[in-house]
Amino acid sequence: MNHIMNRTINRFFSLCTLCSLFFIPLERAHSANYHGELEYSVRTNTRAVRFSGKAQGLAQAVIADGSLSAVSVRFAPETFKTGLSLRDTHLRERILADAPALFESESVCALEGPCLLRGLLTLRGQTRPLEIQARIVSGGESVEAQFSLSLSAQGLEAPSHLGVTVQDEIPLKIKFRRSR
Amino acid sequence: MKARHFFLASILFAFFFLAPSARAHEGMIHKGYVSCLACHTSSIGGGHLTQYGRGIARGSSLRGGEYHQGPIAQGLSLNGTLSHQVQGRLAHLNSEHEKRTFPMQADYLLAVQVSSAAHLRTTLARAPKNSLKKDKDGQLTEARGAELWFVRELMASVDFGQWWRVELGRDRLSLGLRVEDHTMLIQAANRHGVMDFPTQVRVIREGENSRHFFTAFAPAGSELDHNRERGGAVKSEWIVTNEGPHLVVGLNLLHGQTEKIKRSLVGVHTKLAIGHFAFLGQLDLTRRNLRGSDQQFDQEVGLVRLELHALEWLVPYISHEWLSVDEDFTRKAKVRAGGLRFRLSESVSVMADYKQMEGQSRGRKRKDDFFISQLVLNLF
Repeated sequence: MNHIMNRTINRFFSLCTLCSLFFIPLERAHSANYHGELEYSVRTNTRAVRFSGKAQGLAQAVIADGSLSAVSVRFAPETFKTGLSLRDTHLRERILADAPALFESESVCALEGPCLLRGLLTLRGQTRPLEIQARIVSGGESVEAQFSLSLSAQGLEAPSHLGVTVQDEIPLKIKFRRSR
Repeated sequence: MKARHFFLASILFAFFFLAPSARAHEGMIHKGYVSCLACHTSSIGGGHLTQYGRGIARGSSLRGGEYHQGPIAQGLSLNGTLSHQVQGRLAHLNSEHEKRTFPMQADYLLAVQVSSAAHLRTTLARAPKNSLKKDKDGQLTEARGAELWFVRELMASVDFGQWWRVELGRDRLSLGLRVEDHTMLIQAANRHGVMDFPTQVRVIREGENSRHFFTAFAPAGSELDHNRERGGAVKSEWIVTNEGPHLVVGLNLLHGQTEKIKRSLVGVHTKLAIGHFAFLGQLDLTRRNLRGSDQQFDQEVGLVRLELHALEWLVPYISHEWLSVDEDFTRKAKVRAGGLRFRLSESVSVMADYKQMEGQSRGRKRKDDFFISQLVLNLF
């Protein structure tokens, strides 16, 4: 009887050891998926004329040992909406060149509090460095950021349509939540 | 017969492909336009369209696509110095009392860019003869000049820096919501008739989050005698939010006096766009005093209107207007309306409205339903 008990206990501990080898590291470092929204407000050279819009995006990050890293964000061009189809077409064709907007960062951030994401932004196929001051909330459950994007710094010409020209600095707000 | 059909088809074709539309619309807040200046040369909206406005008119029509100025229009513009526009409206009215089709409006609009900061604009209008009314003595009860070509707008406009604009000339008053229908109670009951284009000096400040219109006005000479009013008006609008939902709130003040009546008006208005919907509202309270007596009467007039912008080129709406005047001039009115605005191209749009009016004046009740459809054509 003791023999059987010892063998069962040994097998249990062996199984636990096996679990710890395979599962615990996975629990410590895993890929987290996010979905979220980008809000932009664009000023123009015409007095009191501003446009605002939204885009829907998907993001991924690696959460390991109480930190968040390897952030990758993607906004598909068809999700950019401004409330007027002509403007959406111009935005998609003239700024995005029908390509997704991508941001990738290798910065490592704590799961709570402010975080400087240093990375690369790809717009119209052109990749330029970009720093985003973000804020991580609720242990990595959501990520928020508010910053300005300079079109000229991204190598883009400010779009213009029949005399109304967009200003160079575009204020952006980003909010992502973890997908379940 | 065939030649006539060909001629009519050619005219329609020309309107369809050449002309921009000039429907001023507060519902444009749904597309993020809280100011009129992007699409119109006038700060108070309506009338002459800018190149950008023509692009938006085309882009938000059923035809869609990009607007390009044609070679003839480019030639006539003398390198962008002049901008011409011709607009016309053909209306069909169907009510219990009458059924008729008539030309409602024909205007020639001209804007002259004098310098980068100064421009002149004018609208020369032709009133249809069948709108003229005569009293039993055969005298015109319409305003003077209504039977002729008349000047609807003649304004000189100068920009000072980024925010300020000063305008001098003759135009409609800037007060409350800019609605295209002068029979709406917020227009008619506030004495903004088709011929009310007072002489005025207007100072405008268009800021980032607010716009203010300060106006001093006097008769232009074409008003009916009892409408010859002088005074001052202020209209202010604040952009509460223009990201996601769009919300603008406004305040209107006016003090004016004619030979017999003094009036003071306090009003509020709002424009709100959420999702596919746009909501417009206005409420004006007016106190009138008979000059030389202590007699006074108060008036309340309001409008609420809901528009559905699920499609850019087809906008249905419902609205409710009310009017209440107390004391000796006891009068009440309610107007329930529904309709749609259909923009076929930048040059052709159709408006269809069904209105149900209920009124009571000095104890007598009145009820009237009518349907009016309008074909709006613009030629550039």
